[in-house]
Order: sequence, then C-alpha cells, then structure tokens
Amino acid sequence: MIVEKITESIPDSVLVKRFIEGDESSFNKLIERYQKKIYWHARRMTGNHLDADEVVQEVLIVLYKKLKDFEFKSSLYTWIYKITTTRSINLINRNKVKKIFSINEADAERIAKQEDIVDGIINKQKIERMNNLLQKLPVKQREVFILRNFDELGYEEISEITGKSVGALKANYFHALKKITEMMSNEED
Amino acid sequence: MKKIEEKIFDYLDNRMSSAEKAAFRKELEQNAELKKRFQEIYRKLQSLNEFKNIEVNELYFNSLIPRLKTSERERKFYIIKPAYAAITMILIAFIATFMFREFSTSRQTVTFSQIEENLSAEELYRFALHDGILAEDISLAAEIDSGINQQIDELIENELFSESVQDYLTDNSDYLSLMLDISDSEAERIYTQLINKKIF
Repeated sequence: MIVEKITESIPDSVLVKRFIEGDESSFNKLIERYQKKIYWHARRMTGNHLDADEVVQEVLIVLYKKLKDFEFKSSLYTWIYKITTTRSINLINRNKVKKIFSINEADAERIAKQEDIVDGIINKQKIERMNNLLQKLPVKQREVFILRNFDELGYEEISEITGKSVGALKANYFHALKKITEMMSNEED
Repeated sequence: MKKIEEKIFDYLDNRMSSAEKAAFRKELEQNAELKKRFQEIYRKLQSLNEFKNIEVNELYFNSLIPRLKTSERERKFYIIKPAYAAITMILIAFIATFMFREFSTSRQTVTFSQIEENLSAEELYRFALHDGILAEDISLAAEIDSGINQQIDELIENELFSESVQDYLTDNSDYLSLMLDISDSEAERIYTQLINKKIF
C-alpha cells in the first residue's frame, strides 16, 4: 500500500527518464497509471470491447517505441490522449470502409460473440445505454464530448489533443450536449 | 440574445464570467421556465456520471503489459531491417554467382558413359579426337588421331592401364577398337584418367 502510494507520487517525467535509462519497470508503472484512461476513451469512441482492445494494444506499442523520443513539450497525458484518440478515429474510419465494402460481417459476428470485460448485468445495461447515446453522435462531436465530459479535460487541453480551435470545440460540445439531452428525452418518452 | 439551452449549457460548462454567472442565477430564481428546463438538463447530465463508474474485470488490465511484451518479442522476431535485407540480398547474389561458376565447371567433368549414351558412334569418334567438341571436318579429326595415339602410348608406358589393356594396345589396335572391345567400366576409367591428364 505504501509502495503503491510512493509509485503514484512519482512524476511522469521521472518515470520516462528512468525508462529511457533502461528501467522497464518504469514503463510498466506508466502503463498502469494510464491504461484505464486509454481503454475507456477507446471504448467510448469505438463502442465495443474488441475494437477498444485493438486501440489499446496499438497505443501501448506506440508508447513503448516512441516514449524515448518524448521531449515533454506537452504533458504526457495529453500526448497519450492524442495517440489514443487518433488511433480510435483511424479504427472507426477503417470499420466504415469495411462496412461500405461489406467485408466486416465477420467482424460484426466477432464483436457480438466477444467476451466483454464488463462485469454484472447492471454494468452491462449501463454500457449499452452509454453506447446507444455516444454512437449516435458524429465522430467529431463524440470525441469532444468524451474528452470534456468523461475525461474531464479543459478546452485548451482538448485543443492540444485534437488540433482544433477552442471556439470550434465549444461549438462541437454544445451540439453534442444538445443531442445527448434530446436523445435522453426520447428515451424517457 | 442567447437561447435558454445555450445559457444553461454555458453555465453548466463553466463558460461564464463571475458576473454572467450571478446574472444567470438571478434569472433562474425569477424565470420559472428557465428553472424547469435547467433542472431537466442538469438531471440528465448528472445521470451521465453513472457511465463513469462501470465495473470491469481487472484481469484484463493485468494482462495488458504481458501481452505487449509478447507482441514486441514477436514483432522483433519477424521484422527485417532494410540494412539486413540488403546484406542478405548481397550474400544471396554472391552465393548464386559462386554456385553458377561451380555448375559451369562441373559440366566439364561429365562422364564418358553419359556422352556415349547421347552420341552416335561417329560423333563419339569425333568427340574423342577433337577435345570434346564435335569435329565438323573428319580430316581434321584424322590429323589429331595420330597425336592422340602417341599420347595414349605414353600413358601406357606410365602404367596407366591394366596389364591386359596394355597388351591389347601394343598389338597395334586403334583407339576405336579399344573402345568397342573393353567393358564400360574400364572405358569409363580410361576416359576419366585421360581427362585428369588433360589429354582431351
């Protein structure tokens, strides 16, 4: 317990430096720190465990390979979010292309049969409801909504991650909030 | 003039200045419609918080790092760096050239029985007289014939052949008669010896 608290208090920059010097356990600690954020961001973006898992694996590989070049010009977590959100959108686009050419029927079957990591009926219902709402949002609005509402990031940070202006992000978030509340009203009706 | 919803979202999203917030709160107390809509939206957005605490199987997260390490090992195993690929190509080209040369050389050590199987008697005779190349001009072959016989005699003197063959040759039998009378294995051996001595 004490060891965990000490580990939690070690800044990202120190862990990165140790990893660059060859300490693999520092990389593990960084992953343990961010893995849930990466997973949930990917899961909310893609809407299923299978795709989220694929994104997580891709992000971890990128981190492992590129972390040595990270210069702390931005914070580590915005960099990680940037990779995660880019990879998620890439995967969504790939799936769209597959859908156009009707070659993701096997994928759809796999997703349906997947072993989800969500435990219990109540949690499964929650995640199904969340997916129903989020997947109806356009990808750009979904991205901003997730980063703002679930990842609780500020507009400046989201701007750094997405490369969009704060004004555009506020507009996107407003439209997303409006749609979400409308969809929730329809659910109640 | 902002719409009601826009005002509510701005307030909930903390986008208002202190003065704007104070004015909004005042309006909220006075405007029943705004208050009702605000409560409605606030309740809905609050309900989104339940999506933040969904319990999952922790074993999945425990497996992420080992899976990453495994995939990295596999990736390193299969990856071929361009430099290695270039070196491999050069090596293959070198070995192929070397093998081709060996192959070309080995063509010269074809056995006599192999030649005999594929050539007619006349062709065989020409071959024997003209350094392994079919002589177009039979008279040229005849000229060489005497030279060859002389060399064979020298070989006989040097105890190249068995005693029985030696006796046969010293009875003035010519080369072709020898070829027709001796066994295949013996002819093969003679031919090989001649090649080794660079007679052809």
